[in-house]
Amino acid sequence: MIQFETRKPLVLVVEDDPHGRSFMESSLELSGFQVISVSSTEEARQSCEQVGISNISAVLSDYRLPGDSGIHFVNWIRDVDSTIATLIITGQGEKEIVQQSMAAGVFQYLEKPVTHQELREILWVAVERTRTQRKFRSDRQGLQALEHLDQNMNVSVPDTLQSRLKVFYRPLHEIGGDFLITHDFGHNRWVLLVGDVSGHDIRSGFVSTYFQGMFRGCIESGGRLESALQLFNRTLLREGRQSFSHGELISLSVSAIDFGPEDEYIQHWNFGFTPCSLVSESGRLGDCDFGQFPLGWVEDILTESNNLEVRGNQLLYIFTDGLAEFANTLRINHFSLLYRLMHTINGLEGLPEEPSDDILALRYRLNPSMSLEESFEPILSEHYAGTECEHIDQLQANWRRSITFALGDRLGDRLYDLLICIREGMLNALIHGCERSAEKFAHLQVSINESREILRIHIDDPGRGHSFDLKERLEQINQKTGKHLGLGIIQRLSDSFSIENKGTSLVFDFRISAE
Amino acid sequence: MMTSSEGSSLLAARLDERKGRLLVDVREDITSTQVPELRHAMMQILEKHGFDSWKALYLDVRNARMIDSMGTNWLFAESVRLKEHKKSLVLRISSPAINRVIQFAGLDKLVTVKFRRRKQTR
Repeated sequence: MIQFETRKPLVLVVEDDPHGRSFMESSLELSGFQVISVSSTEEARQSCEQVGISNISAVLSDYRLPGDSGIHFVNWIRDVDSTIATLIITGQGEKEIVQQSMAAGVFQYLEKPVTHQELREILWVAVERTRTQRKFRSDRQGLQALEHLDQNMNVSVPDTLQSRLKVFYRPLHEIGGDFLITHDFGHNRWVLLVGDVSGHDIRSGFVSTYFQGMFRGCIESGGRLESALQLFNRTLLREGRQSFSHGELISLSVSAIDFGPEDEYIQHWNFGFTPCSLVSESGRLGDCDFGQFPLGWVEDILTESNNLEVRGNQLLYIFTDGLAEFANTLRINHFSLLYRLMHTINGLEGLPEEPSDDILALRYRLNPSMSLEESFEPILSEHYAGTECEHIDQLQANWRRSITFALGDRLGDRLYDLLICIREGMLNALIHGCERSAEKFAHLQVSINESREILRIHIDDPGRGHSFDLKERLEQINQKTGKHLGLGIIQRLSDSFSIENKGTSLVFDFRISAE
Repeated sequence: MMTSSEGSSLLAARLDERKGRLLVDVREDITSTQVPELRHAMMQILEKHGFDSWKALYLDVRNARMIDSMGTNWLFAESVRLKEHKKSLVLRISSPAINRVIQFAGLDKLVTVKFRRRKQTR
């Protein structure tokens, strides 16, 4: 067994010319390296196995070797351990070889004749580069181990909630700044807290971990959720600018919910978070309050909750701003992205862009006796000013992009039926309901009920409505007057159609399986 | 003999004198945004070719995926205009969505519809 001094960097020299090999061996030993010198790539491979490749700090190989080339050998080295700096020695004027060497990821090439000083200087640089690469690889491996821990810590969902709560979590780095914490008080009462630490770097992940620990400690020792929020705010104001931020303000956006024991109401706190959304049994979507500033901005915060009444089989959606930002990058509605992430295993794979922030999104079923599949889930929700009727083609292109992103080609040719119905409904809402005004807004939402295979569209406008008889009006279309054709198109192309709130709301369904 | 005609970006026309057909291709969807230009372009085509050398106008909408209420009204108006000149209108359609709208609006009773379904590629 060959023994090696541990302090001196080990260099493997591959040179078939005995004079050249002897010169390099002497030169490198004088320069403070340990040297293994061999005359062929076969011997070199054996040496690597014998000493362990992780003990080698640099490889110096002649290009022309008997029966093989130095390039093949350094390629083999890089396959086994890509951190080792490799150097190729060529004869004079072999430029093509140089190019090949560079393409193979060779650290440096040397042209014969090489002086003692050149060899010493370049080898020390090569050894340092190997050391740096190995340190970097070790750090990455450590972070990857943390990533698994982060996945478990940041979004742990207790068994009792598994059937009601679905979570998508994708941190930008190995440790994410977004987190979800739940705590079960027993007797059917529990709290949920979703947090988003400002910043997109790995530092946010560490701050997030700090707050998770603080929250758990606070709640598990009997503290109230309001007290934990106050504590977060005080900590951010006191410590944030000194310890964490280096002059940069760090804040924490929080959406927190206390679920009452009878599930009749929920208490909600929002500090700088994207408003959560409640989807009704019929698929109608409503945003909750915008809330207050993020924690860490101001001294005094109001910790009074906003009480939300639980009605029927509602779904609650909470998501961090990373979801909306990424949807914007993809030029789709954020509910379309959310639907895809909730319903596919690798929803982010194959997309043309990468997220630029952590994404954390959750869907919670308020009624424990209903299944998630029986509920309507939103795939598109947009508010448009009346003036947007001028850009109806652009809006239509956006709807198409979002709907097909969420559903693929499940609608087949009926996609065009759907688009034309939405177009007719939205033009009616923007022109008549909003009177083309920049101050008045119409709301379009598309939701899907998987178990009933229904796509439901709601179009609401702020108009005063009208009092016509829908049946009578639709009959007029058959008289070929040309009037009210838009309404008729929706009625005929959709599978069911109704008008609510005196005509200010259109609701129509498309069966997904129908062709 | 076929003669070509400079249309707009939405319509292209050519005359088939042997068969007595004026062939007009629609290149986009027939929706509210396009209707003003479609109306104008059709008027130019009819002015250029007149009404003497053909009997039927074949409107090829196989490149269109959809038609809305304004588009349907435009087709209705064109059919009336052609009828006044004792010409017929033939619609070539491949979009099921367009065919459904044409049928329920009753246009299929005023004009000849040649529907042959093909997968929408746009």
